[in-house]
Amino acid sequence: MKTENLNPGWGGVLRGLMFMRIRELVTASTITRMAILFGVVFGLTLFIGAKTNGKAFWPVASNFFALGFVPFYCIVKGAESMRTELRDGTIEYLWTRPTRKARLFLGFYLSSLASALLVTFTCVVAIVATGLIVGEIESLAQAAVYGLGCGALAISFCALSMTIGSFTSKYIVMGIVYHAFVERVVSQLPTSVRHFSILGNIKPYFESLQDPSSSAGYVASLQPAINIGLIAAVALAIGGLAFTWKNYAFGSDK
Amino acid sequence: MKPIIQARELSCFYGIVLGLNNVSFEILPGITGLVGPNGAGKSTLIKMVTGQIAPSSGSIEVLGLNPVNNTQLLSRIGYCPEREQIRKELKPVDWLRGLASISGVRWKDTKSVAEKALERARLDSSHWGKRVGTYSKGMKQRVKLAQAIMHDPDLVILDEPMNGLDPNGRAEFGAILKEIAEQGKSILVSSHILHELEFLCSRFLILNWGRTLASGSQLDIRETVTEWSDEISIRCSDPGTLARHLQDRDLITGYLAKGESLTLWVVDPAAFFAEWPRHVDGADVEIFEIRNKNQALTSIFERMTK
Repeated sequence: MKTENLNPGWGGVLRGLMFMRIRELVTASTITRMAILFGVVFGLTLFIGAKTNGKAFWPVASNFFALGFVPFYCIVKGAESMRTELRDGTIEYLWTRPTRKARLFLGFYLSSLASALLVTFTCVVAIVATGLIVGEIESLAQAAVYGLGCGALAISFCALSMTIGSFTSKYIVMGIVYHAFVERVVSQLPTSVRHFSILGNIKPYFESLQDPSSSAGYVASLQPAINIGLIAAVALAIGGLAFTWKNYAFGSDK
Repeated sequence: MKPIIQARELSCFYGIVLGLNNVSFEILPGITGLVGPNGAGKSTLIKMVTGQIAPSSGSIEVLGLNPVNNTQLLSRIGYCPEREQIRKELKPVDWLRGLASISGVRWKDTKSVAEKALERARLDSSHWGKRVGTYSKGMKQRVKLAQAIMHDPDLVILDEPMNGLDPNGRAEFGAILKEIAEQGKSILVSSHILHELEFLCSRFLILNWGRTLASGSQLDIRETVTEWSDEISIRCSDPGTLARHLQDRDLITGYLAKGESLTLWVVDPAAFFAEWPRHVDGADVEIFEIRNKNQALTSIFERMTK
Protein backbone atom coordinates (compact mmCIF):
# COMPACT_ATOMS: atom_id res chain seq x y z
CA MET A 1 0.00 0.00 0.00
CA LYS A 2 1.41 3.34 -1.04
CA THR A 3 1.67 5.95 1.71
CA GLU A 4 -1.36 8.11 1.06
CA ASN A 5 -0.35 11.09 3.11
CA LEU A 6 3.18 12.42 2.70
CA ASN A 7 2.91 14.22 6.00
CA PRO A 8 1.58 12.07 8.84
CA GLY A 9 0.80 15.15 10.95
CA TRP A 10 0.98 15.38 14.72
CA GLY A 11 -1.80 12.83 15.19
CA GLY A 12 -0.15 10.01 13.27
CA VAL A 13 3.21 10.49 14.97
CA LEU A 14 1.87 10.79 18.51
CA ARG A 15 -0.51 7.90 17.99
CA GLY A 16 2.24 5.69 16.57
CA LEU A 17 4.69 6.40 19.40
CA MET A 18 2.04 6.14 22.13
CA PHE A 19 0.75 2.89 20.66
CA MET A 20 4.23 1.32 20.73
CA ARG A 21 4.84 2.51 24.31
CA ILE A 22 1.51 1.26 25.60
CA ARG A 23 2.05 -2.10 23.90
CA GLU A 24 5.42 -2.32 25.65
CA LEU A 25 3.88 -1.43 28.99
CA VAL A 26 0.87 -3.72 28.87
CA THR A 27 2.58 -6.93 29.85
CA ALA A 28 2.00 -9.43 32.61
CA SER A 29 5.24 -8.37 34.31
CA THR A 30 4.18 -4.69 34.35
CA ILE A 31 0.83 -5.59 35.90
CA THR A 32 2.60 -7.73 38.51
CA ARG A 33 5.06 -4.93 39.30
CA MET A 34 2.26 -2.39 39.69
CA ALA A 35 0.34 -4.78 41.95
CA ILE A 36 3.45 -5.23 44.13
CA LEU A 37 4.04 -1.45 44.17
CA PHE A 38 0.45 -0.84 45.21
CA GLY A 39 0.73 -3.41 47.98
CA VAL A 40 4.01 -2.00 49.32
CA VAL A 41 2.87 1.65 49.27
CA PHE A 42 -0.52 0.80 50.77
CA GLY A 43 1.03 -1.37 53.47
CA LEU A 44 3.70 1.18 54.44
CA THR A 45 1.42 4.22 54.50
CA LEU A 46 -1.23 2.31 56.43
CA PHE A 47 1.35 1.13 58.94
CA ILE A 48 2.76 4.66 59.40
CA GLY A 49 -0.70 6.26 59.46
CA ALA A 50 -2.07 3.80 61.99
CA LYS A 51 1.01 3.98 64.25
CA THR A 52 0.84 7.80 64.46
CA ASN A 53 -2.95 8.11 64.58
CA GLY A 54 -2.87 9.75 61.17
CA LYS A 55 -0.41 12.49 62.19
CA ALA A 56 2.32 11.26 59.86
CA PHE A 57 -0.04 10.65 56.94
CA TRP A 58 0.16 14.05 55.23
CA PRO A 59 3.93 14.52 55.76
CA VAL A 60 4.42 11.16 54.05
CA ALA A 61 1.78 11.75 51.34
CA SER A 62 2.83 15.33 50.55
CA ASN A 63 6.42 15.98 51.59
CA PHE A 64 7.88 12.54 51.04
CA PHE A 65 5.84 11.15 48.15
CA ALA A 66 4.43 14.10 46.17
CA LEU A 67 7.22 16.65 46.64
CA GLY A 68 10.08 14.16 47.04
CA PHE A 69 9.50 10.91 45.19
CA VAL A 70 7.43 12.07 42.19
CA PRO A 71 9.88 14.79 41.01
CA PHE A 72 12.85 12.46 41.53
CA TYR A 73 11.18 9.55 39.73
CA CYS A 74 10.06 11.73 36.82
CA ILE A 75 13.53 13.24 36.42
CA VAL A 76 15.02 9.75 36.29
CA LYS A 77 12.36 8.29 33.98
CA GLY A 78 11.22 11.33 31.96
CA ALA A 79 13.84 11.22 29.23
CA GLU A 80 14.35 7.47 29.40
CA SER A 81 12.43 6.47 26.27
CA MET A 82 14.18 9.11 24.12
CA ARG A 83 17.59 8.35 25.58
CA THR A 84 17.14 4.59 25.23
CA GLU A 85 16.31 5.05 21.54
CA LEU A 86 19.40 7.23 21.13
CA ARG A 87 21.65 4.84 23.06
CA ASP A 88 20.48 1.74 21.17
CA GLY A 89 20.34 3.52 17.82
CA THR A 90 16.70 2.47 17.30
CA ILE A 91 15.98 6.18 16.82
CA GLU A 92 17.23 5.74 13.25
CA TYR A 93 13.97 3.96 12.46
CA LEU A 94 12.12 7.11 13.53
CA TRP A 95 14.42 9.77 12.09
CA THR A 96 14.07 8.27 8.63
CA ARG A 97 10.27 8.58 8.69
CA PRO A 98 8.62 11.48 6.89
CA THR A 99 8.03 13.58 9.97
CA ARG A 100 9.57 16.48 11.87
CA LYS A 101 11.81 15.76 14.84
CA ALA A 102 9.78 18.10 17.04
CA ARG A 103 6.80 15.76 16.65
CA LEU A 104 8.93 12.79 17.64
CA PHE A 105 10.15 14.73 20.67
CA LEU A 106 6.59 15.38 21.82
CA GLY A 107 5.76 11.74 21.17
CA PHE A 108 8.66 10.65 23.38
CA TYR A 109 7.49 13.04 26.07
CA LEU A 110 3.96 11.67 26.03
CA SER A 111 5.13 8.07 26.05
CA SER A 112 7.47 8.76 29.00
CA LEU A 113 4.67 10.58 30.74
CA ALA A 114 2.41 7.54 30.29
CA SER A 115 4.97 5.37 32.14
CA ALA A 116 5.50 7.98 34.85
CA LEU A 117 1.78 8.47 35.39
CA LEU A 118 1.24 4.72 35.63
CA VAL A 119 3.64 4.51 38.59
CA THR A 120 2.52 7.82 40.11
CA PHE A 121 -1.17 6.96 40.04
CA THR A 122 -0.63 3.42 41.30
CA CYS A 123 0.99 5.01 44.36
CA VAL A 124 -1.64 7.78 44.55
CA VAL A 125 -4.47 5.23 44.64
CA ALA A 126 -2.70 3.34 47.42
CA ILE A 127 -2.09 6.53 49.42
CA VAL A 128 -5.65 7.79 48.93
CA ALA A 129 -6.99 4.40 50.07
CA THR A 130 -4.89 4.72 53.23
CA GLY A 131 -6.01 8.33 53.72
CA LEU A 132 -9.65 7.28 53.54
CA ILE A 133 -9.06 4.45 56.03
CA VAL A 134 -7.18 6.58 58.61
CA GLY A 135 -9.64 9.47 58.13
CA GLU A 136 -7.13 12.05 56.84
CA ILE A 137 -8.84 12.28 53.47
CA GLU A 138 -12.41 13.19 54.09
CA SER A 139 -13.87 13.35 50.62
CA LEU A 140 -13.25 12.11 47.12
CA ALA A 141 -12.85 15.75 46.04
CA GLN A 142 -9.87 16.07 48.40
CA ALA A 143 -8.49 12.82 46.96
CA ALA A 144 -8.96 14.16 43.42
CA VAL A 145 -7.15 17.39 44.31
CA TYR A 146 -4.26 15.37 45.73
CA GLY A 147 -4.16 13.23 42.59
CA LEU A 148 -4.21 16.28 40.33
CA GLY A 149 -1.31 17.80 42.23
CA CYS A 150 0.74 14.64 41.79
CA GLY A 151 -0.23 14.50 38.11
CA ALA A 152 0.89 18.13 37.62
CA LEU A 153 4.23 17.30 39.21
CA ALA A 154 4.68 14.31 36.89
CA ILE A 155 3.76 16.36 33.81
CA SER A 156 6.16 19.19 34.64
CA PHE A 157 9.12 17.16 35.90
CA CYS A 158 8.93 14.80 32.91
CA ALA A 159 9.10 17.89 30.69
CA LEU A 160 12.18 19.11 32.58
CA SER A 161 13.78 15.70 32.28
CA MET A 162 13.12 15.63 28.53
CA THR A 163 14.73 19.03 28.15
CA ILE A 164 17.83 18.07 30.11
CA GLY A 165 17.89 14.74 28.24
CA SER A 166 17.82 16.48 24.87
CA PHE A 167 21.13 18.18 25.79
CA THR A 168 23.02 15.43 27.60
CA SER A 169 23.04 11.69 28.10
CA LYS A 170 23.85 12.36 31.77
CA TYR A 171 20.34 13.66 32.27
CA ILE A 172 19.76 11.75 35.50
CA VAL A 173 22.74 13.33 37.27
CA MET A 174 22.02 16.75 35.78
CA GLY A 175 18.34 16.40 36.67
CA ILE A 176 19.12 15.54 40.29
CA VAL A 177 21.54 18.48 40.48
CA TYR A 178 18.86 20.74 38.99
CA HIS A 179 16.28 19.41 41.44
CA ALA A 180 18.57 19.84 44.44
CA PHE A 181 20.09 23.23 43.62
CA VAL A 182 17.45 24.98 41.53
CA GLU A 183 14.04 23.61 42.47
CA ARG A 184 14.74 23.12 46.15
CA VAL A 185 16.62 26.40 46.60
CA VAL A 186 14.39 28.61 44.43
CA SER A 187 11.22 27.23 46.02
CA GLN A 188 12.50 28.32 49.46
CA LEU A 189 12.95 31.95 48.44
CA PRO A 190 10.48 34.28 50.13
CA THR A 191 10.10 36.43 47.02
CA SER A 192 8.00 35.90 43.90
CA VAL A 193 11.09 34.36 42.27
CA ARG A 194 9.93 31.08 43.80
CA HIS A 195 7.18 30.99 41.17
CA PHE A 196 9.89 30.16 38.62
CA SER A 197 10.22 26.75 40.27
CA ILE A 198 7.66 23.98 40.05
CA LEU A 199 7.97 23.15 43.74
CA GLY A 200 7.58 26.83 44.68
CA ASN A 201 4.20 26.86 42.95
CA ILE A 202 2.93 23.54 44.14
CA LYS A 203 4.04 23.53 47.79
CA PRO A 204 1.19 25.77 49.00
CA TYR A 205 -1.20 23.52 47.09
CA PHE A 206 -0.20 20.48 49.14
CA GLU A 207 -0.05 22.55 52.33
CA SER A 208 -3.64 23.59 51.76
CA LEU A 209 -4.60 19.93 51.56
CA GLN A 210 -3.09 19.26 54.97
CA ASP A 211 -4.67 22.30 56.58
CA PRO A 212 -7.50 23.60 54.41
CA SER A 213 -7.93 26.68 56.64
CA SER A 214 -4.34 27.92 56.14
CA SER A 215 -4.50 28.69 52.46
CA ALA A 216 -8.02 27.89 51.45
CA GLY A 217 -7.97 30.10 48.40
CA TYR A 218 -4.83 28.61 46.92
CA VAL A 219 -6.44 25.47 45.52
CA ALA A 220 -9.10 27.55 43.82
CA SER A 221 -6.52 29.85 42.21
CA LEU A 222 -5.50 29.02 38.67
CA GLN A 223 -2.23 30.97 38.85
CA PRO A 224 -0.03 28.13 40.21
CA ALA A 225 -1.40 25.75 37.58
CA ILE A 226 -0.70 28.33 34.86
CA ASN A 227 2.83 28.88 36.22
CA ILE A 228 3.57 25.15 36.25
CA GLY A 229 2.07 24.74 32.78
CA LEU A 230 4.24 27.58 31.49
CA ILE A 231 7.40 26.12 33.02
CA ALA A 232 6.62 22.75 31.40
CA ALA A 233 5.76 24.35 28.03
CA VAL A 234 8.94 26.47 27.97
CA ALA A 235 10.99 23.42 28.96
CA LEU A 236 9.41 21.34 26.18
CA ALA A 237 9.93 24.10 23.62
CA ILE A 238 13.64 24.38 24.51
CA GLY A 239 14.02 20.60 24.50
CA GLY A 240 12.18 20.28 21.18
CA LEU A 241 14.45 22.86 19.56
CA ALA A 242 17.56 21.16 20.91
CA PHE A 243 16.34 17.75 19.72
CA THR A 244 15.63 19.15 16.27
CA TRP A 245 18.93 20.91 15.73
CA LYS A 246 21.43 18.89 17.73
CA ASN A 247 23.51 16.19 16.03
CA TYR A 248 23.47 13.15 18.25
CA ALA A 249 26.12 10.47 18.22
CA PHE A 250 24.43 7.23 19.01
CA GLY A 251 25.39 3.58 19.33
CA SER A 252 28.90 3.05 18.05
CA ASP A 253 28.93 6.13 15.81
CA LYS A 254 31.82 8.51 15.56
CA MET B 1 18.49 6.16 -17.49
CA LYS B 2 18.03 8.88 -14.85
CA PRO B 3 20.21 8.39 -11.76
CA ILE B 4 18.42 7.85 -8.44
CA ILE B 5 21.35 9.21 -6.44
CA GLN B 6 23.78 11.85 -7.64
CA ALA B 7 26.68 13.15 -5.58
CA ARG B 8 29.00 15.96 -6.57
CA GLU B 9 32.23 16.63 -4.69
CA LEU B 10 30.57 15.34 -1.57
CA SER B 11 32.50 15.50 1.72
CA CYS B 12 31.62 14.80 5.31
CA PHE B 13 33.80 15.36 8.35
CA TYR B 14 33.10 14.40 11.95
CA GLY B 15 35.28 17.05 13.54
CA ILE B 16 38.72 16.05 12.34
CA VAL B 17 37.61 12.52 11.41
CA LEU B 18 37.07 12.00 7.72
CA GLY B 19 33.82 10.34 6.71
CA LEU B 20 33.71 11.03 2.98
CA ASN B 21 36.29 12.95 0.97
CA ASN B 22 35.21 14.76 -2.19
CA VAL B 23 33.34 11.91 -3.85
CA SER B 24 31.30 12.23 -7.03
CA PHE B 25 29.18 9.41 -8.43
CA GLU B 26 25.84 8.47 -9.88
CA ILE B 27 23.72 5.49 -8.88
CA LEU B 28 21.27 4.21 -11.46
CA PRO B 29 17.99 2.35 -10.81
CA GLY B 30 18.27 -1.37 -9.96
CA ILE B 31 20.17 -3.14 -7.22
CA THR B 32 23.42 -1.37 -6.40
CA GLY B 33 26.03 -2.71 -4.02
CA LEU B 34 27.84 -0.22 -1.83
CA VAL B 35 31.07 -1.96 -0.94
CA GLY B 36 34.10 -1.10 1.11
CA PRO B 37 36.03 -2.30 4.14
CA ASN B 38 35.07 -1.14 7.64
CA GLY B 39 35.55 2.61 7.94
CA ALA B 40 35.33 3.17 4.18
CA GLY B 41 32.48 5.67 4.51
CA LYS B 42 29.52 3.44 3.59
CA SER B 43 27.42 4.20 6.64
CA THR B 44 28.26 7.91 6.38
CA LEU B 45 27.08 7.93 2.78
CA ILE B 46 23.90 6.08 3.72
CA LYS B 47 23.21 8.57 6.52
CA MET B 48 23.61 11.38 4.00
CA VAL B 49 21.29 9.67 1.53
CA THR B 50 18.66 9.29 4.26
CA GLY B 51 19.11 12.91 5.36
CA GLN B 52 20.44 12.08 8.82
CA ILE B 53 23.68 13.96 8.16
CA ALA B 54 24.12 17.10 6.08
CA PRO B 55 27.16 17.25 3.78
CA SER B 56 30.13 19.27 5.06
CA SER B 57 30.62 20.35 1.44
CA GLY B 58 29.41 19.35 -2.01
CA SER B 59 25.90 18.22 -2.84
CA ILE B 60 23.79 15.10 -3.01
CA GLU B 61 20.44 14.49 -4.67
CA VAL B 62 18.27 11.46 -4.00
CA LEU B 63 15.37 10.83 -6.37
CA GLY B 64 15.99 14.37 -7.60
CA LEU B 65 15.60 15.90 -4.12
CA ASN B 66 17.91 17.28 -1.45
CA PRO B 67 17.69 14.75 1.40
CA VAL B 68 18.34 17.15 4.32
CA ASN B 69 15.15 17.70 6.37
CA ASN B 70 13.07 16.53 3.43
CA THR B 71 9.96 14.69 4.61
CA GLN B 72 8.72 14.39 1.04
CA LEU B 73 11.80 12.38 0.14
CA LEU B 74 11.66 10.29 3.32
CA SER B 75 8.17 9.09 2.40
CA ARG B 76 9.72 7.60 -0.77
CA ILE B 77 12.63 5.92 1.03
CA GLY B 78 12.75 2.76 3.11
CA TYR B 79 15.76 2.38 5.37
CA CYS B 80 17.09 -0.64 7.22
CA PRO B 81 19.94 0.37 9.60
CA GLU B 82 22.98 -1.76 10.28
CA ARG B 83 22.53 -2.14 14.01
CA GLU B 84 20.57 -5.13 15.18
CA GLN B 85 18.60 -3.50 17.97
CA ILE B 86 14.84 -3.43 17.66
CA ARG B 87 12.44 -2.59 20.47
CA LYS B 88 12.57 -6.09 21.88
CA GLU B 89 9.48 -5.87 24.12
CA LEU B 90 7.23 -5.35 21.10
CA LYS B 91 5.64 -7.87 18.80
CA PRO B 92 6.57 -7.24 15.14
CA VAL B 93 3.07 -6.28 14.03
CA ASP B 94 2.78 -3.72 16.85
CA TRP B 95 6.17 -2.21 16.04
CA LEU B 96 5.36 -2.00 12.36
CA ARG B 97 1.91 -0.50 13.07
CA GLY B 98 3.49 2.26 15.14
CA LEU B 99 6.09 2.99 12.46
CA ALA B 100 3.46 2.89 9.71
CA SER B 101 1.41 5.47 11.57
CA ILE B 102 4.50 7.69 11.85
CA SER B 103 5.06 7.19 8.10
CA GLY B 104 1.64 8.60 7.32
CA VAL B 105 -0.39 5.41 6.85
CA ARG B 106 -3.97 5.86 8.09
CA TRP B 107 -4.44 4.13 11.44
CA LYS B 108 -7.13 1.74 10.23
CA ASP B 109 -4.79 0.53 7.48
CA THR B 110 -1.71 0.06 9.66
CA LYS B 111 -2.48 -3.54 10.64
CA SER B 112 -2.93 -4.77 7.08
CA VAL B 113 0.14 -2.79 5.92
CA ALA B 114 2.25 -4.33 8.72
CA GLU B 115 1.06 -7.88 8.02
CA LYS B 116 1.58 -7.51 4.28
CA ALA B 117 5.13 -6.26 4.84
CA LEU B 118 5.95 -9.20 7.11
CA GLU B 119 4.60 -11.55 4.45
CA ARG B 120 6.75 -9.87 1.79
CA ALA B 121 9.77 -10.24 4.08
CA ARG B 122 8.84 -13.93 4.43
CA LEU B 123 8.52 -13.95 8.19
CA ASP B 124 6.32 -16.91 8.97
CA SER B 125 3.03 -15.82 10.57
CA SER B 126 3.48 -18.38 13.36
CA HIS B 127 6.17 -16.03 14.78
CA TRP B 128 4.11 -12.82 14.67
CA GLY B 129 2.72 -13.36 18.16
CA LYS B 130 6.18 -13.52 19.78
CA ARG B 131 8.14 -10.56 21.09
CA VAL B 132 11.02 -9.45 18.86
CA GLY B 133 13.48 -10.00 21.72
CA THR B 134 13.00 -13.77 21.33
CA TYR B 135 13.81 -13.73 17.59
CA SER B 136 16.91 -15.14 15.91
CA LYS B 137 19.20 -12.83 13.95
CA GLY B 138 17.71 -13.90 10.62
CA MET B 139 14.16 -13.26 11.84
CA LYS B 140 15.14 -9.82 13.15
CA GLN B 141 16.63 -8.96 9.75
CA ARG B 142 13.30 -9.85 8.15
CA VAL B 143 11.40 -7.63 10.56
CA LYS B 144 13.88 -4.82 9.85
CA LEU B 145 13.38 -5.35 6.13
CA ALA B 146 9.59 -5.36 6.58
CA GLN B 147 9.66 -1.94 8.28
CA ALA B 148 11.73 -0.61 5.37
CA ILE B 149 9.37 -1.80 2.64
CA MET B 150 5.97 -1.50 4.32
CA HIS B 151 5.13 1.95 2.93
CA ASP B 152 6.05 0.83 -0.59
CA PRO B 153 9.07 3.13 -1.07
CA ASP B 154 10.72 3.78 -4.43
CA LEU B 155 14.20 3.34 -2.96
CA VAL B 156 15.13 0.79 -0.29
CA ILE B 157 18.43 1.36 1.52
CA LEU B 158 19.93 -1.52 3.47
CA ASP B 159 23.04 -1.08 5.60
CA GLU B 160 24.90 -4.39 5.96
CA PRO B 161 21.69 -6.45 5.99
CA MET B 162 23.46 -9.78 5.67
CA ASN B 163 25.75 -9.40 8.68
CA GLY B 164 25.67 -12.57 10.69
CA LEU B 165 23.42 -14.52 8.34
CA ASP B 166 24.39 -18.05 7.36
CA PRO B 167 24.76 -18.88 3.62
CA ASN B 168 21.15 -20.13 3.38
CA GLY B 169 19.90 -17.01 5.13
CA ARG B 170 21.90 -14.81 2.74
CA ALA B 171 20.56 -16.61 -0.30
CA GLU B 172 16.99 -16.28 0.92
CA PHE B 173 17.48 -12.62 1.84
CA GLY B 174 18.95 -12.02 -1.62
CA ALA B 175 15.92 -13.68 -3.22
CA ILE B 176 13.59 -11.33 -1.30
CA LEU B 177 15.59 -8.32 -2.47
CA LYS B 178 15.47 -9.53 -6.07
CA GLU B 179 11.70 -9.88 -5.74
CA ILE B 180 11.44 -6.29 -4.50
CA ALA B 181 13.64 -5.08 -7.38
CA GLU B 182 11.43 -6.95 -9.88
CA GLN B 183 8.55 -4.77 -8.67
CA GLY B 184 10.41 -1.76 -10.06
CA LYS B 185 12.01 -0.61 -6.81
CA SER B 186 15.62 0.48 -6.55
CA ILE B 187 17.82 -0.96 -3.82
CA LEU B 188 21.07 0.30 -2.35
CA VAL B 189 22.67 -2.39 -0.25
CA SER B 190 25.96 -2.07 1.60
CA SER B 191 28.42 -4.70 2.70
CA HIS B 192 32.08 -4.95 3.58
CA ILE B 193 32.15 -8.35 1.90
CA LEU B 194 31.84 -8.07 -1.87
CA HIS B 195 31.26 -11.78 -2.21
CA GLU B 196 27.91 -11.34 -0.40
CA LEU B 197 26.66 -8.97 -3.07
CA GLU B 198 28.31 -10.33 -6.21
CA PHE B 199 25.37 -12.61 -7.00
CA LEU B 200 22.78 -9.95 -6.17
CA CYS B 201 23.86 -6.59 -7.58
CA SER B 202 24.12 -5.47 -11.15
CA ARG B 203 26.11 -2.36 -10.20
CA PHE B 204 28.61 -1.43 -7.53
CA LEU B 205 30.05 1.60 -5.83
CA ILE B 206 33.34 0.74 -4.15
CA LEU B 207 34.59 3.03 -1.39
CA ASN B 208 37.73 3.10 0.71
CA TRP B 209 39.04 5.72 3.14
CA GLY B 210 36.15 7.98 2.23
CA ARG B 211 36.92 7.95 -1.49
CA THR B 212 35.33 6.31 -4.52
CA LEU B 213 37.56 3.58 -5.91
CA ALA B 214 35.26 2.37 -8.68
CA SER B 215 31.66 2.49 -9.74
CA GLY B 216 29.51 0.97 -12.44
CA SER B 217 28.47 -2.46 -13.62
CA GLN B 218 30.48 -5.61 -12.92
CA LEU B 219 31.79 -5.35 -16.48
CA ASP B 220 32.82 -1.71 -16.04
CA ILE B 221 34.74 -2.58 -12.90
CA ARG B 222 36.41 -5.61 -14.52
CA GLU B 223 37.57 -3.37 -17.35
CA THR B 224 39.58 -1.37 -14.83
CA VAL B 225 41.86 -4.40 -14.46
CA THR B 226 45.12 -3.81 -16.26
CA GLU B 227 47.17 -6.50 -14.59
CA TRP B 228 46.46 -10.11 -15.39
CA SER B 229 47.32 -12.94 -13.07
CA ASP B 230 49.17 -15.88 -14.54
CA GLU B 231 46.62 -18.11 -12.77
CA ILE B 232 43.59 -18.99 -14.89
CA SER B 233 40.62 -21.14 -13.92
CA ILE B 234 38.73 -23.04 -16.56
CA ARG B 235 35.68 -25.24 -16.27
CA CYS B 236 35.49 -27.65 -19.16
CA SER B 237 34.38 -31.13 -20.25
CA ASP B 238 37.89 -32.68 -20.20
CA PRO B 239 40.49 -30.75 -18.16
CA GLY B 240 43.28 -33.30 -18.66
CA THR B 241 43.08 -33.20 -22.46
CA LEU B 242 42.94 -29.41 -22.54
CA ALA B 243 45.93 -29.10 -20.20
CA ARG B 244 48.05 -31.45 -22.32
CA HIS B 245 46.97 -29.60 -25.49
CA LEU B 246 48.16 -26.26 -24.04
CA GLN B 247 51.32 -27.80 -22.59
CA ASP B 248 52.30 -29.20 -26.04
CA ARG B 249 52.15 -25.60 -27.36
CA ASP B 250 54.34 -24.25 -24.50
CA LEU B 251 51.57 -21.90 -23.35
CA ILE B 252 51.51 -23.00 -19.69
CA THR B 253 54.05 -23.61 -17.00
CA GLY B 254 51.87 -25.93 -14.94
CA TYR B 255 48.33 -27.11 -14.27
CA LEU B 256 46.03 -28.68 -11.73
CA ALA B 257 43.02 -30.69 -12.89
CA LYS B 258 40.18 -31.70 -10.61
CA GLY B 259 36.80 -32.89 -11.84
CA GLU B 260 35.59 -30.30 -14.36
CA SER B 261 37.95 -27.67 -13.02
CA LEU B 262 41.32 -26.86 -14.42
CA THR B 263 43.75 -24.35 -12.95
CA LEU B 264 46.45 -23.19 -15.32
CA TRP B 265 49.61 -21.14 -14.84
CA VAL B 266 50.18 -19.50 -18.22
CA VAL B 267 53.43 -18.13 -19.64
CA ASP B 268 52.00 -14.82 -20.93
CA PRO B 269 48.56 -14.04 -19.42
CA ALA B 270 47.80 -10.98 -21.61
CA ALA B 271 48.68 -12.85 -24.80
CA PHE B 272 46.74 -15.92 -23.69
CA PHE B 273 43.56 -13.89 -23.04
CA ALA B 274 43.94 -11.97 -26.30
CA GLU B 275 43.82 -15.15 -28.33
CA TRP B 276 42.44 -17.84 -26.06
CA PRO B 277 39.82 -19.19 -28.56
CA ARG B 278 42.62 -19.96 -31.01
CA HIS B 279 44.72 -21.60 -28.28
CA VAL B 280 42.01 -24.01 -27.20
CA ASP B 281 40.85 -24.71 -30.75
CA GLY B 282 41.68 -28.22 -31.75
CA ALA B 283 41.64 -29.62 -28.24
CA ASP B 284 38.12 -30.91 -28.88
CA VAL B 285 37.04 -29.89 -25.38
CA GLU B 286 33.87 -28.03 -24.44
CA ILE B 287 34.64 -24.86 -22.40
CA PHE B 288 32.01 -23.80 -19.84
CA GLU B 289 33.80 -20.94 -18.10
CA ILE B 290 37.14 -19.19 -18.16
CA ARG B 291 38.27 -16.74 -15.49
CA ASN B 292 41.41 -14.93 -14.60
CA LYS B 293 41.98 -14.80 -10.86
CA ASN B 294 42.48 -11.03 -11.00
CA GLN B 295 39.20 -10.55 -12.83
CA ALA B 296 37.01 -11.95 -10.08
CA LEU B 297 35.26 -9.01 -8.42
CA THR B 298 36.36 -10.18 -5.00
CA SER B 299 39.97 -10.16 -6.13
CA ILE B 300 39.58 -6.72 -7.74
CA PHE B 301 38.06 -5.42 -4.50
CA GLU B 302 40.84 -6.92 -2.40
CA ARG B 303 43.52 -5.31 -4.54
CA MET B 304 41.73 -1.96 -4.70
CA THR B 305 41.33 -1.72 -0.96
CA LYS B 306 44.82 -2.91 -0.02
